[in-house]
Amino acid sequence: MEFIDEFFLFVSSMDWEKFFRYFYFFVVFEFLRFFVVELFVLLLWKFTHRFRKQRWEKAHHELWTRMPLVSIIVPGKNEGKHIFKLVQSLKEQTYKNFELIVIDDGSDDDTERICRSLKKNGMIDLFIRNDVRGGKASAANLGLRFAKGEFVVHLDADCSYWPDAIEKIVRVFYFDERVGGVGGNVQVRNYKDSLVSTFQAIEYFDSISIGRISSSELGIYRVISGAFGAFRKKALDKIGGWDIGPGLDGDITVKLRKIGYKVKYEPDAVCKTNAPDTFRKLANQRLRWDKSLIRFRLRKHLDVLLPSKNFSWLNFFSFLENIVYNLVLNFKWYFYIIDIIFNFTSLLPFILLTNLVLYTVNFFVKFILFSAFRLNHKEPIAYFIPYLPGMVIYFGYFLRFTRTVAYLQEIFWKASYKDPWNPEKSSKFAKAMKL
Amino acid sequence: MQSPIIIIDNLQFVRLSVETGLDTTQIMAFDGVLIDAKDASFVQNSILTIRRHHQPEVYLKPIFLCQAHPQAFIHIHALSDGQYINDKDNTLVSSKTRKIFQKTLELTDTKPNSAYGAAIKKALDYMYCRENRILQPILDPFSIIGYSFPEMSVSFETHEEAQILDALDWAEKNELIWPDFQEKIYVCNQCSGGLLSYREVCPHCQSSHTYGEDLVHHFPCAYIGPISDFTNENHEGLHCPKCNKGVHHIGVDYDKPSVLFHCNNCDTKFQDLYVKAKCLSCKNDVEVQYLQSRTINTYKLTSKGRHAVTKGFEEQNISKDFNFIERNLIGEETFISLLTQDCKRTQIEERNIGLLAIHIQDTAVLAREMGHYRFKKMILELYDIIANELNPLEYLYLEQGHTFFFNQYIGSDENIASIQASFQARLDQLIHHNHGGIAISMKYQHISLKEWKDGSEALKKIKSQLN
Repeated sequence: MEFIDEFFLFVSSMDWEKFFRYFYFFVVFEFLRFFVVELFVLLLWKFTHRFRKQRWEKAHHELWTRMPLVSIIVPGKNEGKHIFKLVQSLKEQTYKNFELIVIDDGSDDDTERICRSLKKNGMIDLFIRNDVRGGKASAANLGLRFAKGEFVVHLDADCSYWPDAIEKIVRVFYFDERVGGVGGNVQVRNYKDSLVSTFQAIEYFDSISIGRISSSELGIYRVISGAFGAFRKKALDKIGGWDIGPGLDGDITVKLRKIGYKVKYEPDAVCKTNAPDTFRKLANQRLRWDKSLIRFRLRKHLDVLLPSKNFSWLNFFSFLENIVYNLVLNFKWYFYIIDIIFNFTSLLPFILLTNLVLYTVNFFVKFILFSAFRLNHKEPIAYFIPYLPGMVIYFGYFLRFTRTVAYLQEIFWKASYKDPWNPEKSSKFAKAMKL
Repeated sequence: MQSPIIIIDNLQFVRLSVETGLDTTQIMAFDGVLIDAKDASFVQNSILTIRRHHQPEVYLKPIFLCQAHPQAFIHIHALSDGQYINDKDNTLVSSKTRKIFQKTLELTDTKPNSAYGAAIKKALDYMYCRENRILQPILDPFSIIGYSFPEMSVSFETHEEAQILDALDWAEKNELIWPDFQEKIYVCNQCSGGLLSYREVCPHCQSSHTYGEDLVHHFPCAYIGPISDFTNENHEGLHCPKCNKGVHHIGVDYDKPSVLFHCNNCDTKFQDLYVKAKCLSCKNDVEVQYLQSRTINTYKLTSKGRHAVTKGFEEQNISKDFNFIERNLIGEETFISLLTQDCKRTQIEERNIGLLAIHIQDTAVLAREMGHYRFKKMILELYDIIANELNPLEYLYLEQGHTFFFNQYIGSDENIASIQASFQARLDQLIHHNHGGIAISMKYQHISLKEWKDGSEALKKIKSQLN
């Protein structure tokens, strides 16, 4: 009881100056960037929507008039068990003029048998199996090599798609001819499976479903998700398709931006995916994803930050924002904690508790407020509310520590080149050529 | 000119040559045959004519060759009993002839009802008289299945060779012969022909106008495409189209993870080439998994087989086993049960129902003369003619390829005679029209079912009347 009394005394005796001194990290880096700026952009997006309506209708009309062939590429290893469901999901699509190309990247299960049977029954247009695994990039490139469509949609086999997903994602190319790639709205399908999958569903809602609306509107959208991304074929041909991963989704987005194409996010094109259901699996996935920031932003595409003939301010800010908010502030947080520990040792428990309260309230308000911007209001929101307090731990500690480990591994040991996700034969070349 | 009759160790042999020609009726009077001709075709034809004869006194006759002939004439070597080059061979020839003669005396004079029965009996007789000779398959490019069983082939036309396997299967199933595995072959699922041309075809349009290309994966840039993407006029060797670097060492900077085929006919790409087999006999083009698998065995006579040739053998169910199986005709059991129903119907409803039988006589000889293929075709023509005359309540049963049984709804007993006469006229007309020149004799019988309570009894009765 004494602690609570002291805590309230701490809070009530705090003026704005002290508040900023104790919680500047929250105020400047979290609240301003991820709440105020995002809210502002979302409001702007919402209120300007009516002005774009006519243009969207025109894009829609043009799509259905031209009916371009869309090549759907599904590269993967040991994905046979998901392929039938995927094919079924694609059969329900409102947009039917597509060819389905499945690339089996050296599966050692019955993927080949399943896919050959589906092909025989006319459910897959082209199935190519590589007996030797070459990695996701090479499998996607093989699909691209034989794609005949004007647009290429890259899908993951374990995802399912809303019936109008293909139509909605391709429509964006007719909205703006300068668009080279469009990312779909990836949501978590198995959000009820475990605590960690529920947390990820909230995270995806925050950082993808809503967060990417604002980054796309600001022109700094930087990752077209591999689970659901659409590309102009000639743009892909120009950049030579995918390069060696991991992190090839972000890499290809940067490559498109570098040659002058816009990349957009389409919240209406919805894809459901299965998220890792244990913290261990999630940590492994994030360690892989987070290393790509160092590898691609700081090494391979560092030229984006430097003056050159292809220099673009938008690309520059996109990179800078990514590096500052994900890398610099990640390490800055440790300095903030050390600062608090050494300078306000006696107040430490109160500051930490207040931080917890601030972040939790921020999450609640943001989640409730931002859910108003959802395009599909049938999505379950109430289910997630009890889990929101846990997001402080998930976001603030679990993901932050995982990110820190990934950055350190990549900075000092270039660990992404040793990741078994990519075959060693390709990774060793990527490392030698600084790809 | 040498004398046509030669005495060896008190045995009389007839010497056949190109000049003397062959008269099978004369052969019966001799103990054996010597063929003295250089012309291998003449020798082969003479041997085949003798072995094809329907009388055991002819087809079992020992045959010796006075001259050597090329191995290519497989029937010469397989169906003759040895050589008679000079007097040194006298002992061998005479002892062999005597042994064959002794064995011939042990045979029973069973006359099989069916053509297949006759063929099997003939082969078994031959094997028995040749010291339980083994029935040996011989690779034969002229045989429709690629193998010949000379002892059986003599009873079949070349295009019917596949049916030999059916006949041998039947004999094996009835334990008359014992198989020893030699080879497994694949034959056409339509005509059982073994002369197949295997082709790799496009799974979409079945065209064989396809070409395949290796896919090349360049490790450093993850480009992957057909090898033709990596070749161009400006560079020697392979060159990556994505990163413009030379591709040099397989396994080091590139590999070939698979092959992709392209169809020039329908412009599709695929990896799963279909293998199809085109039958050179009937032109049927079939995927290999639908080919029929057959086993080629050597066969020995079993004790049951030896018993069958000396004491006579049952050839029941030959027709059911293989003869007309493809027509899915009703079987004896079904026929009897339908007949029993009709017997009851005559009692209860006082309907007048008759049972008619048409028996084709001497089918074994007919089949020999006409050839099995033509004979079978004729039987099926007769079957169709009769079946077309029947109303929905009437049904037809063909027994062992030689006797037709069917019921007839008749107004009075007198009617059945006119119905029988009508059938007789139609069948005679068909035979005259389609098979003129061949003497086919048919026997007709009829009974009324009202006298019978059981179908099997009625069938037995009419069969006895036929005999």
